[in-house]
Amino acid sequence: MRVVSTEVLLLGGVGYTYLGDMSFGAILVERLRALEWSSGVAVEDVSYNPITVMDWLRDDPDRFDRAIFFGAIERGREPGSLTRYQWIASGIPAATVQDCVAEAVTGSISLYNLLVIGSHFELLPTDTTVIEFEPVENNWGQGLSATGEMRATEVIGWLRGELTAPATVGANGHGAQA
Amino acid sequence: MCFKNLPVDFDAEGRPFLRDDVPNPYAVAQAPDTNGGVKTLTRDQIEDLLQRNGHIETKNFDPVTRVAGALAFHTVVDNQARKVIEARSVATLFRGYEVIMMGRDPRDAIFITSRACGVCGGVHSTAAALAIEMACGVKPPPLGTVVRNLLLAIEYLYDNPLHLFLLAGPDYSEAIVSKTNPELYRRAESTPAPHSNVHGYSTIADIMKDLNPLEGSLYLEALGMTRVAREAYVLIGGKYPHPQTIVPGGISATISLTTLNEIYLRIQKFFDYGKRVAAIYDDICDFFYDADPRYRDVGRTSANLIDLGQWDDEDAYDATYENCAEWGERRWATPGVIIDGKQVTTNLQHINLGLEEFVEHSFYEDWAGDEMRFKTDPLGAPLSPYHPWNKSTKPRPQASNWREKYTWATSPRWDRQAMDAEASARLWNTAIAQKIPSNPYIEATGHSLKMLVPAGRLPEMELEWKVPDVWNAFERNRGRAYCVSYTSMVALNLWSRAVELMKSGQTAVSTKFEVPKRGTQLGVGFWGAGRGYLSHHLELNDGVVTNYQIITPSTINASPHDPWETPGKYEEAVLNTPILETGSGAYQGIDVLRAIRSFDPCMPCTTHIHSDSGVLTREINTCACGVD
Repeated sequence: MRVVSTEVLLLGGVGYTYLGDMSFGAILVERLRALEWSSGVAVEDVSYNPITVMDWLRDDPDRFDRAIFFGAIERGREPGSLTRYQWIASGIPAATVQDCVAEAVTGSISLYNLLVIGSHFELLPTDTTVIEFEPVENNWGQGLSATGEMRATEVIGWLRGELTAPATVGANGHGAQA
Repeated sequence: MCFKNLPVDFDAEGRPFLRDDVPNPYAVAQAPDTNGGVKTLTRDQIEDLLQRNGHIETKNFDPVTRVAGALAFHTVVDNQARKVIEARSVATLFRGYEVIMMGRDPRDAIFITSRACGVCGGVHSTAAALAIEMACGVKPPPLGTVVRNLLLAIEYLYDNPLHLFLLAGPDYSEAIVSKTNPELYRRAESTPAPHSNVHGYSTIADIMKDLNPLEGSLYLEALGMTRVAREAYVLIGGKYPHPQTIVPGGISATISLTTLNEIYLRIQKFFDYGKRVAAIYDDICDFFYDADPRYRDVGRTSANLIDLGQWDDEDAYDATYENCAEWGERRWATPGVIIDGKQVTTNLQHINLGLEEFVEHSFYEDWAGDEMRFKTDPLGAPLSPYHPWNKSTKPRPQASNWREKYTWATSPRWDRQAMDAEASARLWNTAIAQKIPSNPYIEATGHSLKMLVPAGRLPEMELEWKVPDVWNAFERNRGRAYCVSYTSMVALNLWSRAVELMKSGQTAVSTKFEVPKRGTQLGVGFWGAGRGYLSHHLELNDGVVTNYQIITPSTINASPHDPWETPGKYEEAVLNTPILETGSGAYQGIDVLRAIRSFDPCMPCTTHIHSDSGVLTREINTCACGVD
């Protein structure tokens, strides 16, 4: 069992606003912030240029021992599914990193880019978990779909559980699905 | 007389009027005089050549992008003649901000249109604020104008290094050149770098190595400099890239001497950086020219450049259209139009009169049959039915067809000629016009722009950007490199003025105003982005927006063919580009990519090549299962 009170856990949501289920990460951050967390937990909206997120992490690189990032990504999976996996920070082709940096500095906000760039600059905690939501609806909208709402509640439950028990997960996109 | 195609003449007092000897003055039936231009083949001719010749094939470039201005590029290449015989620029996204703005309070434009760009949202906020100021009759206090200028100068200090080293820079790196032109890289290894005393690199190959993406120190340093610029920016703007403090009538931030001091500490980091950036790009450009003079044709276009100028003089700017010619010419960057290398006007009203937008090859319906809303501008000068104040945005999605419509970009033209919207247009117009305010750091000579950059770790240096004798990909990059010092010297001037205003007690940064609730008002934000020209045209009726039109630099440069089949500037640049790539591996399209990227398109760096045999683009949201 891991004791969070002696470490600092980053819960980071990524997503554009007003994009229906694609705003899963940003909406979840708002809900997590409304909850009480132990002193070792930081809830952050990291929905901005990943290079700037890296600048923030670089200012205090030892601040977080663990990180859990979450957001919606369209990967063609079952709509409404959740995938949870351990992020492995090696083996990413340089061309992919370069593309991600170019997109980041020109304004793209992306969970995937954040993970790739963070890995390249070795700024993510070694223990980084990712929770991806496969959107049901990706049209304009202020709220989540009914399925998205249900999954948000589940993720909050998972995150609460992470305080006392580490996830049983796969790696990079092949994690446990709900 | 600045117009040679539009039927607009000038009376003895210099007032423009519509000639009465032209029966249908704005008809598009007659082809304009474009001084020859680039030769294009019809689609039938292209298809015939493709069928009959195995050495002629289609090569498409398809960037993956998620910001406005996403670009794809279609070419047909003659592999024997090693040249491009068809080039089509394709904007694959509908921007839609013009439609979103309809019926809204004009102040919404500041926050909504900022989202048109993820790099330079502040320029859209500013252009919107200027348009509203004109429509509502509000003039900012001096410090409001100066600090707004300063904010936007800082934004360019983010934008230009980003392009030079993160987007375009890798095209000249060891990683690329050694693959596409190994003989060139071998030559670079034994070629001394002429400006080694400034940038510290002994050979051209040493520069190329540090231009390598992700690992090269120039790449990494540019990433770091974007942070410096962002830090300075948020001291005024609150956040980046979508500032929170730009308002009609000035800014809503509290400015103190402490704020200004913190900004100075960051601006001054660009002094030495600008010297080195100019030296590096001088050496890169001259190396390629010396190695093979045909590089002068890569990205070559006619030198037609348009710019609206920016950074207002706080005493001259009164936000009125009536006085725009006067306050425009007192800007720190002089507005202007250059045709074939010659400046034909610096008058903002005349630049405005010459603007038209066409949609013959764009996914929109024509609006020219609608009732013309404004036959004249607020000064009584003639407006075209194709002018932004008369335009209606009527999107009409459909399949691409090279004979008909193939892009979401429109075809903005000035005096019916394709123009280049460029950071360098700022240098060029300012250099020729010699109207820049008197100051200790920048001098316009009529053929060059001299910049006296203060000492840092490097000694004080005078840089001189000279009007180039050829306009191509390399000169666009060189100009942008000099823009780093130009912009930082403008910022230094602005900073000094801000301090003087604060010392004299002129600390107000905004003027209160009301949006008129009755009647019709017109406004236009004449401004620029880091990469060049930007205008927002606004019409208010009874307090709400009834027309809003944005023309960005990428819209101008990425424009498709116009009604007379004159290609846009990306297209012209690629059609003039020789294929000089010699590498033994798969065709990289580096010469075409250098031509396109030199314009600093919104998202050039995700341009990946594919042929008919397979798409090689990267899907952003692919499963990460390829990662071990």
